[in-house]
Amino acid sequence: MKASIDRDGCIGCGLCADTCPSVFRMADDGLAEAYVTDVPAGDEAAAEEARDNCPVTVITVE
Amino acid sequence: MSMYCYQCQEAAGGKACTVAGVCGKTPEVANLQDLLIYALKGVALRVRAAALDAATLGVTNRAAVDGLFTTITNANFDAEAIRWQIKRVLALRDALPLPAGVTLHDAATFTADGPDAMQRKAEAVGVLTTENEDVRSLREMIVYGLKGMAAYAEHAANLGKENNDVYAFVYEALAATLDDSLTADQLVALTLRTGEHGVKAMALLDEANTSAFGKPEITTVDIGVRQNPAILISGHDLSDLAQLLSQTEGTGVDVYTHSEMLPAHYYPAFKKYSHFAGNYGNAWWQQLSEFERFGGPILFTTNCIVPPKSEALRGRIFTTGASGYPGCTHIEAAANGVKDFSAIIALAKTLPAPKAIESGSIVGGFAHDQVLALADKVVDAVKSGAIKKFFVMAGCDGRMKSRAYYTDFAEKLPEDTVIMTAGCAKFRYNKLGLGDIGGIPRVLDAGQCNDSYSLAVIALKLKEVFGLTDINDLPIVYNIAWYEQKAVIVLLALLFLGVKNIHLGPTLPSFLSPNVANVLVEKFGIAGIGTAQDDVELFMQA
Repeated sequence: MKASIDRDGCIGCGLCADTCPSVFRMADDGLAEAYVTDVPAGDEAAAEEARDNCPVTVITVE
Repeated sequence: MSMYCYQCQEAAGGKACTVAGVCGKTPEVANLQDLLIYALKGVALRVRAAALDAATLGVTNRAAVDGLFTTITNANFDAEAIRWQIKRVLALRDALPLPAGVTLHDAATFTADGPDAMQRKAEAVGVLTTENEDVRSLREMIVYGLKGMAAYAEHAANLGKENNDVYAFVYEALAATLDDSLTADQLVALTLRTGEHGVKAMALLDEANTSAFGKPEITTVDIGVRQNPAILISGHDLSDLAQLLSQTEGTGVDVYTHSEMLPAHYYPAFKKYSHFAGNYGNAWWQQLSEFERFGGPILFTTNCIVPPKSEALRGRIFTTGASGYPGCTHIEAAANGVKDFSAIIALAKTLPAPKAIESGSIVGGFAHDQVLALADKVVDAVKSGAIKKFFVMAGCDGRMKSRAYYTDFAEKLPEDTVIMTAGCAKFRYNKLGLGDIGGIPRVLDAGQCNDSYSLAVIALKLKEVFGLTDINDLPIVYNIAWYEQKAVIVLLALLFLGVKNIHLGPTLPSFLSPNVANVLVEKFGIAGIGTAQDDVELFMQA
């Protein structure tokens, strides 16, 4: 399972980093980034939750 | 287009939403909400300037609380509906007398005809127009308290109960937030008076609910499903529920409660409906996946709405009252207050029965009358040492993982402690099966967030029974979770009642400036939370 963020649309709310910290974190520019592209085994549900809860729908997990 | 909103606990980055709301609202909606508040401040200025008696301002009073309520987090995402409210409020404002020779603030006189003019004006009247961050912090805290108060006042008014003191204070406080002559100390005093009137609003709603539907009683609520098509009702308005139950009776359509509507089951008046099936799901933030499994139509009577991303889901969601979402059907009340829910019932009949997400039951109904009926048992348990401490864990739930703290905290509490709760915070621990102490359940659910009033009444009664002079000498610890502005008025109400050392989480409000936060820490002992283990140890020593 792979995760990515369209950072152009990110509002820096921090929900994804809070929901799935093994994949997402807040970068120095205040926006979120997917710092690993392959979702670690066992964290798939959290990554999908981060995608589903993103208020601006910029996270892809597939 | 940008925005600035920091009224909820999930404000972006722990600071403010500036690009779009974490709640899902657009900058357009956020700015229109700011303009609606500004227009209401203009109404307040005119009411105050002409020394008008709130008792004579029926329609304006209702528009004021409806406007404030509409801007609560997750209540209304519909720009068109908010523009309509602004137009209505400006018309009501301009119908109020303008005393001769008085120069009023722009809020009392500005015009904004049409969407473009409203948007331009909105961008000039937002939160950041108050430059001093401490004054801004206090003004916003007061406004957020008023929003929560307005929600409770509106529910009560829907049941025919109004209190002109509450309306008069809404005008006084809104006007004060534009008064540059007020000192920080005066604004702190006004903040506490907001809490005082919050108590009045909660007492009013308590009276409205109990006089209409009876006193909440201990009730076992089914959390599984039946085989009939069904409607899910969410939000807080019991008058809407009463109408829905009446209109669905005998139709073969069941009604389930969702999130903050769960406590409706505790009221005797609703128990006569055999099709009032139970509660479905959990706190508001899990609704998108739960609504998929529910399958039938959903009626939102208030917040909290999570933006339904699919058109198919929007087609099943209906809103009423202060709530709204573009693409969902909004049901207005007729002039006599009656709402026609036939479209929801007709849709329900075409859809399958809900799919189970859990089974079993939960127990609630521990509002003040019910707990005070058990007072002897409770007092004996405290005196014998069977109950060492009570933990008030009322408030809101939310999306952040850090809220897992509240589940951990509840699980780690010693077995000789009791949790008293209200609001949707309960969903973090109300299905843990924490047992009872001599027949007293270890989780006592008083009801919705406004039923935090019950917890205050219980505390005041216990103070009397134990012959104490200070409410803080009771073996009660306050560990409150907050998310939106109704929790703000509950907090201010507790501060007004003299409750100290409240712990507030999962994070302190970002609308508190460092200096205002310091005042709350020094004067009232407000603190955040740590780890569940550390806090349990700390609180048991307190």
